[in-house]
Order: sequence, then structure tokens, then C-alpha cells
Amino acid sequence: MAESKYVKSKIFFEEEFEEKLAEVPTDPKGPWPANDNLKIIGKPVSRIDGYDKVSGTAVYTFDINLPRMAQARILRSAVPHAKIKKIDTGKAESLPGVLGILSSNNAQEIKWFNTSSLFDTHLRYQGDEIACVVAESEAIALKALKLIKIEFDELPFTVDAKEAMGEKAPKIYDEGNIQGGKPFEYARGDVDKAFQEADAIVEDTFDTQVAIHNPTEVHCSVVNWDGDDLTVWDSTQAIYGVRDTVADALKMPASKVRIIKKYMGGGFGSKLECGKYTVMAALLARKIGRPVRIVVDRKEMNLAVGNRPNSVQKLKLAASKDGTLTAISHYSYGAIGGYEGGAGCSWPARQMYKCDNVKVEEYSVFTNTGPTRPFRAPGYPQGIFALDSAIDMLAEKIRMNPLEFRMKNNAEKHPMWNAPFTSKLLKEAYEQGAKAIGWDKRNNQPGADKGPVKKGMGMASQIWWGGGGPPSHAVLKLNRDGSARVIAGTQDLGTGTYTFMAQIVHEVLDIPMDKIEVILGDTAVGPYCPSSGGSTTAPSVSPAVRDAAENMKIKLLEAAAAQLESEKKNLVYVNGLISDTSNPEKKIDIPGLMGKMGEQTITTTGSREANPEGYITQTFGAQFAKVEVDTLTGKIKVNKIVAAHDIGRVLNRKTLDNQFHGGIMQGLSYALMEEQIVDINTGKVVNTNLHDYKIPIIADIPEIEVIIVSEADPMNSNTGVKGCGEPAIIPTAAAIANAVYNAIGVRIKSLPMTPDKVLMALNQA
Amino acid sequence: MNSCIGFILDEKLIEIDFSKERKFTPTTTVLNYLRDLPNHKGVKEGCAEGDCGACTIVIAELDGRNGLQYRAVNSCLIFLPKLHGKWLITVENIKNPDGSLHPVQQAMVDYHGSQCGFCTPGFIMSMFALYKSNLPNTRAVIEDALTGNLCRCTGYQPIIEAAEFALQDRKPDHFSKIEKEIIAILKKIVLKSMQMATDRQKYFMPVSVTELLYIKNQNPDAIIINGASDIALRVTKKYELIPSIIDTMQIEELHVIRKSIDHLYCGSAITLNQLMEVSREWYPAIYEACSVFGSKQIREMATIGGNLGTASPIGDLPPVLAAYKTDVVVVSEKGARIIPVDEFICGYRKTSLKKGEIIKGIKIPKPMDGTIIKFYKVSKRKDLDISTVSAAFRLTPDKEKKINEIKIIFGGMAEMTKHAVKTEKFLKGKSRTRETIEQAMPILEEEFTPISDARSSAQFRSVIAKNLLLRFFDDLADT
Repeated sequence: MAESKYVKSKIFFEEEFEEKLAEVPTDPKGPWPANDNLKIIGKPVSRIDGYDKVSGTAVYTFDINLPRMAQARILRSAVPHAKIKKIDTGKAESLPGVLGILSSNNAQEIKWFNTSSLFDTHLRYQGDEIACVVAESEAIALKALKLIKIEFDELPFTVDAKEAMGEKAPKIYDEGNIQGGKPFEYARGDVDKAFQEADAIVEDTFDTQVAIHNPTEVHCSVVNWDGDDLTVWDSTQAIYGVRDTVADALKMPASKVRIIKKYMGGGFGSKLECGKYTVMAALLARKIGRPVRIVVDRKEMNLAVGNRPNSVQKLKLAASKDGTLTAISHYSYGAIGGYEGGAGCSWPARQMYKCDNVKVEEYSVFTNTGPTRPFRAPGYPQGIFALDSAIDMLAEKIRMNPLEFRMKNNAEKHPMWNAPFTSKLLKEAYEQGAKAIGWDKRNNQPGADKGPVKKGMGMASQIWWGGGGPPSHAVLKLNRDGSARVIAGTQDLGTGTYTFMAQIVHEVLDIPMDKIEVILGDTAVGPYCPSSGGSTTAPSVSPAVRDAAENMKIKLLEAAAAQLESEKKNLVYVNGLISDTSNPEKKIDIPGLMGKMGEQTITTTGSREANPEGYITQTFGAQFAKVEVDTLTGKIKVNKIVAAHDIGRVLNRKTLDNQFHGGIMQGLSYALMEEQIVDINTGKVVNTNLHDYKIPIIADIPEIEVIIVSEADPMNSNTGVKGCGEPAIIPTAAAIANAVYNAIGVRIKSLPMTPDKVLMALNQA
Repeated sequence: MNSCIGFILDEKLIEIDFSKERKFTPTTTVLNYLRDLPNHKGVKEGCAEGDCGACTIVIAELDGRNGLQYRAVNSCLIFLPKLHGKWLITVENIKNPDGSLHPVQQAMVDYHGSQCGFCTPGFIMSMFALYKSNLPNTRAVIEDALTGNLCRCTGYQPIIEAAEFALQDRKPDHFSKIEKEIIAILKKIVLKSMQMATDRQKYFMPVSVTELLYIKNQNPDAIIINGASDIALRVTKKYELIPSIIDTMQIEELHVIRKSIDHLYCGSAITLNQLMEVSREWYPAIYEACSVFGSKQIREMATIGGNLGTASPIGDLPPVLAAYKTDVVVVSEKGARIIPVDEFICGYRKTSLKKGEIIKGIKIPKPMDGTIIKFYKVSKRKDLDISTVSAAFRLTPDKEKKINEIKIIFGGMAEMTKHAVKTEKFLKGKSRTRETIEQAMPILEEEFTPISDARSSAQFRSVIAKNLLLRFFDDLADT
């Protein structure tokens, strides 16, 4: 029977490495065979939560309705920078139906963002929280917000990172606007020397926009106190993270806080951390002795719950005539808003290609704009857009095919640490992707097409983490009738966690899919699993579920040996039937076996193994785009995207395709349309709804072909799964940008590539 | 005066009498009404302003031929009185009575059209309305029907596949079985003049133009609504209390479509979806302009009268109607008058309607053979996007292929829809050569001074206007 041990294990989460002490199994299960030899893993299985979702019976946090539930809404700053002098809630309080108001007048001091508090009187951006009203209805709460009188001193503001870095800019913090007081720096080799010796150099500046996650379900929580026990339903990607933040904020034991999240309407990173609104609702609910629902509306979503920060990237690359990439210099800055965050985008420059000389200098700059939050591969779509645009420019300069150039500079070992990879099939991705798009038919003379509508083809590379790791656990309960319940403290953002967990149990134990119940998203019942970000859910959770299922099989075989009075080594488990190979008469099925047991359920646990020492696990890939550009209107139409990736083992072909199509469409949208616009004169966001903040509609989709070049990464875990949610979005914008250049012979160095930028660039060319 | 509306929900007749009702008012949206009920939480709210489609419901109504017509609309933009005499269908009603899934739902499961699932009920409803229509299951029809539904997860491809499959073979469903009963109930709900008044608000639903004009005269500040998609936002987003509203929904005279030998007449309450359908044959440029006007859900509510009445400088409809030399028919208690559409819109969000006048309809002459009319729109997204610039062109060549008559009308280039008068004058009588067009382009540039805004820069607008002229003549060369 499995025992466990504790190890220090390194895992990469969002933007940095974390070393954690983790409980891992002592008897790691061997790798699975190829998917062709598995029953249900890798097959196109319909999601088990499909019925709930299409019938309207799926209950989201937004839909939770408790008896006597009151409604809370937040008053936010309408100006980008101010100090509150006085808050008068008198009129609002006397409005019939108002039950309570919290503000800096009466709220206890709760620390937030390291530098601030739950209700800070220093307002650092349009959308910063001022007060929270709870009322009998949302309409009353909203009316009350309008009745709150704020006296404040408006302060000079800065919404532009470059301006904010300057001497004269208004200071958001006394220490200055550069986070940490200095840039992040990295260097290897000797960049200056490499530039001196180079045969070819390219140097240019690229910029990318602020993008907003805008999941379809807005951020929301419902809280309920039962004595001093607090239950919170929250639309979150991190039930344990929210639990700990709420417990800390309210100074109560984590054991008294239960976080539940069954279904959620997307997150993309914006729901990776606990929001102030959840804590405000908990405080108000305690105050009024009633359950409270709090909702952040679409406008607030576009102001206050995070963004992909902008970037300005100055890149200088060098190569020798034979196509060796000899130097990369990356200088960048980006606005992180009024609170701690990150605008870094240099990871691709540091690790995408083999390059001996690399220098990075990047600044995260405080501005009076909304906060940053991880957004589907934070830093990477912007970093790859600049890097792979420059790579294409460099390849052109030395007259080399950009595909060949990338192949030549493929890193066999990790370029920063000289460490081997558990698996890397980037060359295969280049080859298979190029074949699928018809790369050999690419026009080698950019802009050569005749007529106003010109066609082009381009590509870009992808690198990301996604190996996951421990700690991550699962519990499996087998019932007397042969049905099973698998429980984990993870969450399904809509990505398919429910379904793959059931598939794994089915694969190992042959229990029919409709007899497997998956419970997740509840800190009261699920063993710990990490938050769902960084494309780590499947690579962290799937091995734990398999471990639990394999442990169950071991248990069943032991029980059967005792019941059948057989030797354990003679027993086999096939299709849910245990039989003795030495005596065909001796056989028993699961319900039969469990009927003989005293227990009505038997339980096993499973854990994710440690990551292999000394190895790096990453995902890789390449995307290829075919576009046409109307040179009269500047409109770009993407006709086809081929995505070829190494993401380890495919668990479910349908959910995998979903993730890739969705990621590519977000990438296309990032490339061509979505963009938060701030009026620099007022410091206010111009587009705070889904009409003005454009995300793609159904008619915008190109043909998409997804090729998975990997079978599995057996060194990484017993399932060999790597993550796929973030890899999908990373190279799309860069591939489209390179295709646009190939079509028109003019490079667009700014995202999104809107018709006006294209047309203006053509006009200036 | 009657203040009680009647509609069907969950196969039962629901009556709301606003003189007694305390929870809901005549400007409560159908979304807020449904989300207040215990068993309709499947109707989702994603934006509450008609941009995302998560709240899509279907309204079925008598089609005048003893059948029912099903329309998918955004419940966040519809006031309760608009349900009067109709069957309200939500996602909870779609599955079969035995709990098994309707074909559109099953296809969404099988093709993996649902990921996080929050937008799914809206997609199901749009697909269901399409299932109940007789439109073909072509890619174009499917895209058009689903344009108003945003999905942030799936990338849409599996949803298209699900729709294509579900619509292949449209067998009678459980709705078909109860249609007769429903029709019987709906027929019993009398369409009559209604006035729903609360302490602070009056909502009129007259049944004739005469009555409408009388009410307007008595309540000069009353806002006349047709689809009300703009007005709904004032209520839901700006929390305005609109004291007096006149809804034209029940006035048959405003819902008239008449085609004669030389023109098409449409009442002002005709929806843009209906206009799109009737213009397909004679007025392809109107069809084109309608097809890129918002989403199908919006088009099902937005009306000709509403679109002309707001006189938006970037409205898509006025330029193309002007290219067809459309007349606007207006009436008041004093009588009717006819105003050419380019005179009807006379400034930034200003019309030449006089006090007491309302838009009754429009008359679109059939162009003579040989006249070419085209519409172009430039925006970031393919649909559901307000134009940066839109343009309509009309050209009648003479026998020598010279430009006998030319009309060039732009939206988004000035404070209102505007003709390029100098360019028109320059081109008239000239031959259709590339040289002529290139000579015309600087003239065009000179006669407009567009502004920069969040949608794009002034410089871009100037270039695009010139290029669209070029595009028009390029396209002519192809024909």
C-alpha cells in the first residue's frame, strides 16, 4: 500500500519558480503506454458537465440565491488619483432598504496589496474601492452608492509608463514609480562584444496594448455566516488561495472558512486571487446577520479586476552569416497600475532560442491605471510578438528562411541553466506545422501580390512552462454498487477538469463514466490542489487521480486475494472483473467483492509525484498564419492558423481542441482588435463595455488546425501530461504579424494591428 | 384604461397588472424579471447591455398565418410590456419533457460547443430560434444568427459545427406538439390600447397612429419607442426614470410592408431584420448594410423609425437609404409630409421632425436598370461593431459609360451623414477612368474634416474615405 514522503520540489507558477515542500508518493506509478493503447485517455470524450451547461441547470456563483440574501455593490473612484478627505454616507444610510455601508469611516484596517488597505483613502486609479453598500436589492444598493458624498483632493496623475518613469511625473509612492526602485536585470555572455562581431543586426521598438480578461461570468461572491463558520461561494480559480486570504483578512482560523466553486464562467487569470469584494461581503454579512451576494459589473470588470499590462520593448538582435543567433538585447517597460504587479515580458528573449549572449533590462512602472493580473501566459504573447517579429527581420537580413533560422537556433538544453528537458519536440512542431500550412508555397518577396488585397504567410514559436508538480492530491471513494466518487481540491474553469478526472478513474478501474461522480471546488471536502493557473491543473492533478485509482486497484486485488483465497500475483483486473489466472473458476466483480466487505465505501488517496531533479519541463510549439490584407481599408483577415505543439499527453481530444481554439482566438483578438483605451487627458478608461472593448464574434474565426506532436512526457509524471491552455495563445499574434509583413512588405510593430495602423503604415512606406 | 399585460411562460398564462404590481414596473427588463424568478437562473447576465447575448431568450408570436414565429432577442433590452400577447421561452424550457435534450442542446454537448458554459444558454436560444425557422443551415445563416452571442472560451468553431449538425434535419420537437394550444391562448389575449401607470411613470401602448398622435399631443415629453434598445440602456445603465413612454408595438399601420411596381414602403416599426429580408431582391446594398448592422438579436428589435430617429452620425442605415433616394413619411395630427432622407437628418443627432410629428414609414424607390448602388463599412470586428466609416455610392452610367449621375454619402466622416457634394459635382459627366477617380480623391479629402476618437484617427478616416471611392470604382470594373 502506498505511503508517502516529503520532498522539496521546484515548480514554475505563472512568472516565477517556487520551491515547495510537498507530500509525494513513495511508489510512483509507471508511465502509461501510448494513447492508442489506452481505452479512453486521449479520445474525444464529451464533457460530463455538458448536460448541466446546455440545459441551463448549471448553477454558477452568479446564480446562488440564499434565503434572506442581501445584495452588495461597491463605490469606486471616478478619478485616477485623489486623497479622500471625507466620506458622508448619511443620505445613503437613510435610503429605505439600505442595510449597511462600509468605508474607511468604519471598516477595520485590513492590509491589502502590501502597500494599501481594504479601504484606502489614497485612491490610485479610476476604479479604486471607496465604499461598499449592502441593501435589500441591487437596485437599492446602486441608488445608495449615488447618495454617498465624497470630498477629496484630486492629485496630479500619470497614466503612461514612460511619463511615470520620468523625474517630473507625479509620484504614486514616495519611493518613486519604478517598482522595487530598479529594473529587473538578466545577462549571460557578452552582448556588446557579440554586437561588435555580428554580421547582421536588427534593432527596433515594439509596443503592445493593455488587454482585459473579460470572462463571461463577472467576478462575484456569495457569503454566509453560520455562527462563526463562514461559507463563501466564489467565482475563483483558487479556492485554497481565497480561503487563506479571507481567513487572514478576518483574522480567523482557515478551518472556519469554506470556499465553494462548482461552475464558473471563465477566468483566464483574472480570478487567480481573492478580490477585495469577497472580504467586504463577508464583513457586511457578519454586520447585518444575513447572507450577502456581491457582484462586480461589466464596467468594473473593465476597470478594476486586472489586465494584461502594456509593453514597450526595444529589441536588438544579432546573427552571423551562417544563421547563428549571437545576441539578444531586450529593454522594456510597462504600466502596472497603482499597486504591486508585473509588466515583465522578457522570458521569451531569455529562453526561447539558443543564444549565448543575452541582456535584459525591464521596468514595472506604477501608474494611475487599473491593476495587472496574470492573463493567459503573462508576459509571453507580448514578449513573443516582439521577439519573433525581430527574428523574422533578422532572418530576412541574412537572407535566410525564417523557419530555417528558427530550426537552426533551437535550444537542445535550457539556455539559461544548461539543463536538459524532460521532453522537447519543438523541431517536430516546426516541421509538421510548416507542412500543414504549406510553408514551401510561401511568397518569398513580401508585398509582391498584385491588386489591393495581398496574401501572406508567417510563423512564430512558443515556449511556456506547464509541467505542474506537487503538492496535489486526490481522494477516491468506491461504493458498494461499484460507483465511485473522486474528490480533489482543484477547480474547473470550464477547461475540462471534471471530465479528465472521470476519464482517468475509468481508464484504471473500468468503472463506467456515468457511475463516476467528480467533486471539486470545495475546500471542506477536497484535499489540497494548487490554484488553476499556469497551465498546471491537468499536469498536477491528473497524476494524483491516477495514483488514487491505481491504489484502489491494489486494494481491490488484496481484498480479492483474501476473498478468493488466491495468491495476489495470480490475480488480474480486467474490465472491472478480478480473476485468478491459475483457476478460471475464481473470479469476482467489484460489487460482489465489496458486498463481502464490512465497509460500505472504501477510500484511497493519491498524490502527484515530485518533478525529476535536474530537469526542466516546458511546453513548446509553433503557429503558422495565413492572412490577407486589404491595402485600401487596412483590414487584416486571418484565413488559417496551424498550431503544432508539444504539450505532452493529450487527455481528451475534445477539451484539448477547445483549449487551443479558444486560446488561438484570444491570440487573434489580441493581435487585431482588443485594447483598453485610456484618455491621457482625464486618466479615465474610454471603453468599459463589451461594445467598445472588442472581442471576436463568430464571424471572425479563421480555419484552425491543431496538431499535437507529442505522445507523452513520461519523465514528468505518471500521466505524462503537460499543460495546454496558455501555449495556445502565445505565438498567435506574432505569427499573424509576420504574415502581415509577408503580405504587404511593411511591418506593423504595434498591437493591436487595427485598420488605421495598417493603412497609416502603408501610407508612410 | 387597461394596465394588465398577458403572456405565456412555462406554458402558463402569466398576467402582470402594473396598477397593482409592486415588484416590477413597465420598464423592468425581461432579464431582471426572469432572474428574479426562482427557476429561470439559466438566463445569464453577461453585460446587461445587449453586447454579449448571454441573456438571449426566444419570443414566439402569432405569425398571422395560424402559426408561430420564433425570434431570439436580448432579454436585457426588452421591457416587460413587450411580452404582451407573446410566448416567452427560456433555456429551461428547451429540453424535452422527459428531461432528454433537444437536438440543439445535444449537438452542443456532442460537438463540445460549451466550455465554461456561461454563454451557452444564450447560444442554445439563438440556435433554437434558428431551428424553428425555415432558414437554410448554411454557414452564412448560422454565423448571422449567432453573431450576437459572445464566447470567450471555445473559439466558436465547435459551436458552428454543433449548429450545422443540429439544423441539418429539423424534425418536429416538443414545441411543435403544443403549438396549437399555445396559439389558442395567445389568440385570447386581446391586443388593446393600454396605459400602464405607476406613481412615477406612464407607459402607453396605443393601437392606432391617431391614438398615438393624440397621446403624444397630451404628453409632449413622452418618448416614442419601437425596439427600445437604446432607451433600455438609459434605464438599466444610467438608472434613469423615464416618466412617459409611448410604445408603438401594437400599431398595425406602423408594421406595414408594401411592395409596388416602383417602390417599397415600410412602416417605421418594421425591424431591421424584416427590412433585410424584404430588401434582398431589389435593394442589395440595403441588405448588405442590414447584415452588418449589430447582431441578429439587436436587428430583431431595432426598427427603421428608431434608427432614423436617433440620427446618429455613424448610423449605417442613413447613407445607404440616401443612396436609394429614400423618402421619409412623417405624420402629425395636421397631416402627412414627405422628406427626403438626406434632408430628414439635419445635424448631429438632429432630425427635421417638427413638434407633434412622428415617423410613419419610409418609401424606397426601385432604382432604374443600370444604376449601381453599393455599401461599404470599415470597423475593427466583422459585425456587431459601430462603423468607423461607412459609405454608400450610387452611380448611373449613360450610354457611353460616362458618369451620368453619382451620389457619394458617408457616415462617420462628419457630425451627420453627409454627401460628398463637391466630389459628386466633379465626377458628373466624366468618364469612368482610373485617372478621373484619382483626380477626385483630393477633392474628397478636402471636403471633409473628420475627427479623431477612440475608434480611429482623423487621418485614417480621410484616407479610408478616398480608398472606399477607389474600391467602389474597382468593384465596378469587375462587373
